[in-house]
Amino acid sequence: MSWSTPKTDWHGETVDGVYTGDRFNAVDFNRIKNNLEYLRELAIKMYDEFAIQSVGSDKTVKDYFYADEINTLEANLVTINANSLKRSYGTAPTYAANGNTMDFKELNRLEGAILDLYDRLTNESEGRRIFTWNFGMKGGL
Amino acid sequence: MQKVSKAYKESMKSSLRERAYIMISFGLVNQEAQAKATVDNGSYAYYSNKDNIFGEHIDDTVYATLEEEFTKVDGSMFFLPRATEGGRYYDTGIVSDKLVSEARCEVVISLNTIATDFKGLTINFGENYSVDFDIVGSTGQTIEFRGNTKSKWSTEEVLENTTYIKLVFYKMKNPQSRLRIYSIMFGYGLVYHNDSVMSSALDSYVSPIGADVPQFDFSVTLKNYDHYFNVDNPNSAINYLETGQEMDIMYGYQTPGSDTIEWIQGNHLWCSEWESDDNTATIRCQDIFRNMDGEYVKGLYSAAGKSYYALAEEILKDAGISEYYIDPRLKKLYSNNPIPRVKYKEALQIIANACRCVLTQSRDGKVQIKSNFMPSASIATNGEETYSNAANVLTDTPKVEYATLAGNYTPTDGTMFFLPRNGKAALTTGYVSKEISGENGTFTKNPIVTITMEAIRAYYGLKLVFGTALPAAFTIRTYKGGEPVNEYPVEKDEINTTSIILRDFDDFDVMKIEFTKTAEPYNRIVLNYFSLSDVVDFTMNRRDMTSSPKAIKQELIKEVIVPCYAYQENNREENLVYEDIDVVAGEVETYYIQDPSYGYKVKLDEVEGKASVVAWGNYFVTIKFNVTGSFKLEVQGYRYKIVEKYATVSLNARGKTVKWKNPLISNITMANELAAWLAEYYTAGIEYEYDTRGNPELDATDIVYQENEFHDGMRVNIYRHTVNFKQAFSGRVTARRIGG
Repeated sequence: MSWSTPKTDWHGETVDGVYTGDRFNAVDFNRIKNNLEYLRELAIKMYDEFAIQSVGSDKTVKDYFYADEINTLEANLVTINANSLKRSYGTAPTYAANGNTMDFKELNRLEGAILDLYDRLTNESEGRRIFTWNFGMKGGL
Repeated sequence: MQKVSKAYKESMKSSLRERAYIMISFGLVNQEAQAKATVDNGSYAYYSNKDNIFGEHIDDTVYATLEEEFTKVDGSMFFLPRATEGGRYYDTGIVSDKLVSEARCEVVISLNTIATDFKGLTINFGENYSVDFDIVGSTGQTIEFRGNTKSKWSTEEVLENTTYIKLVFYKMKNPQSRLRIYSIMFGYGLVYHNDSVMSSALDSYVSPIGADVPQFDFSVTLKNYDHYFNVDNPNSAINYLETGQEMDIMYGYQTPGSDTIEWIQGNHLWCSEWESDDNTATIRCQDIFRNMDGEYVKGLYSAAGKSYYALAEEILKDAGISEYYIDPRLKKLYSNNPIPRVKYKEALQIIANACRCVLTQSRDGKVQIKSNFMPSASIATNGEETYSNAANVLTDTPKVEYATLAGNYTPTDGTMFFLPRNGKAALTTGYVSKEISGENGTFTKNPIVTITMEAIRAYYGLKLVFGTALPAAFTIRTYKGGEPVNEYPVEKDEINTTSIILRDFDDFDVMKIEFTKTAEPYNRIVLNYFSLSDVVDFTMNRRDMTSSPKAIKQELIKEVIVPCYAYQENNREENLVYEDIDVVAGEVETYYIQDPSYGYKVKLDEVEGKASVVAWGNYFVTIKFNVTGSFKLEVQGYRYKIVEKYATVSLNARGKTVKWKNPLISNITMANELAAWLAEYYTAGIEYEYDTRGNPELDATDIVYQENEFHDGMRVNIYRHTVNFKQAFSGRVTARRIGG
């Protein structure tokens, strides 16, 4: 799964009664889903094996998305974090059918956490390689 | 009383009512289409709701989807339940199943009326509106709309002679998205529902004897927190209003166990004034008669007589009113007298009163002159026995029956009589059909009784008293001017010796009762009495009243006097107009005369021929001048001498004398009928005022039963009725007792 840069500047203002904020599209859904899968793959290279829940294949503009799918994405973030860096990324609300959708703050929190995990896990992964010890190579030491 | 369902009637009487609704529309809205239209099944999303787009509907409840640039991230949208969950969905209007870019979307709306023309259509698409679409009528007429840029789109185009409309959508603002329709209005204008209306009051006043011109007043207070109605706001709806703008008021009620709202037309009125502050906007409307203040001056004496119908039509035409209803009975009633110089509405009031009619405005805003008395009736049959007297059926006198050998017909208690050998009834009998039923109770040729009423009017019930033999089934059909109106089959379970058949009979003048079966085989139909009831199927009982009824005893009336006016020619010529004038040749001038006059002659400086009469009536003369200059104008003519005769009905030994002067009454028969009609009204002399739970189905002029501790079955005539709406109904009634 390839990595896409998360969007962390979500905004949702309404000016003079007209909504001028961002819109949540299929590409955003797919990015979050796939980035979480990428993080899991990255994490299990360094930590114990663990699984995250599947949210299915990529969606298109024709598809619907549901509350349980967003809950699953949030749960996957928690699972990856709990099985790797154990950072604190706040608590996600539990979404329900017929309930309000996530707002830009929650999206910023979710994608911000994904980006943070990505940065840290990537650092960790790359750092391990940088600090490889080769004892006795210089001789005499 | 307006037609409402049985469920509505029962629920409005229950201690806990269901939710009440109001819909107020300005502009041109086809209320009939709005109330009757339905959306056909189509390719819609599983959570789509096509059944509620013609009523109250907002566009701020939206399910989030992944369509192009659709889902907001401000938390205002909602998660869609999965189709497999089978739960309830929010009503988000029509949503197409597929993206419009994937497959063009069609929405077919059946109007459920006869082919009709309608002007204008308004569609609320929400923020992702359709850009390119067509409207197609049932005749194939297609109107194309391209490049729309509005969420709330409207057109003033006319769709002609159509029974349905098909909307075909090709392109949306965001191409990869579904079609959404939140509401559709047949017409264009503004519509307000419960969420905008803070309160409203509709006050109706109709004098049952035509003592005043009817008045209908409506005021509505709308929310104005967003300053939408502020006069200074350039986008304000207030700017859309004009004096004389038509307004429709609809009252709705959600019948129990049903998701549908039963709508009743409240009225159709005209805006008169409005005001707003930072919190509220108040709009006031009034009836059609308020705009009929022009003076009618064309009154003209007719020696041969002119029908009241023709007189009323002349006034309405002069007042510019083309839609009205006048009881056809007025075509047979004549007056010789000229209509006096009064306002249009007063002239109509005088005509209605002279003919014992009530002048009112129908709920769809049309002037109506309708008979307001129990008309006399005549009866005919398609065959009766020699000893039958069908005419007696209309009188409530005891009837006898002659013994026959019809199946199980003749009792052995000696109550029946032997038929004379000549077959003629020596005693008072009712209607006995010629036809006799067969073994299974049916007839070879069904007996039919036809009752023809003197006047057209509505009734709310029927009483039939049968003889020993009972019918097992019959059908009641009514006709107005030969056109069918209502048809009600009546079955065995409703038929007794005295049968009260409660049905809403709309305006009719002919009723046919076709008997199709007898309870016992080999029997005739024996009908002894028939009467119609003008009392609506409604009893105002204590539970309907929210205040103690105030009873007001009216002044005792000693007698009612109705003068009959005979116009006689006068042999004394006099100067009717006399003034100094400056005129130019060819100038035309009209002079109005105070008293009814005729035989006009024009003189300038005492010389005839310098001016001529080009038009005249008993109250005006139009003169064309043939010369230029300063002159002394004299219009000479004759004033009618008016002789009075009196029709008098005495009511009490003491009290006030009511002298009812109707200048159109020119024959003593009509004067006597009018006096008797007025006397009936003045007989009761008790009025009641009370607050009610509000019944928008009731009209001022309805006769209803009213609960009374001392008078069982007391009938009252409602003449002032107020319906208030404040998210629930309430009301006020002023009614006059009928009878002593």
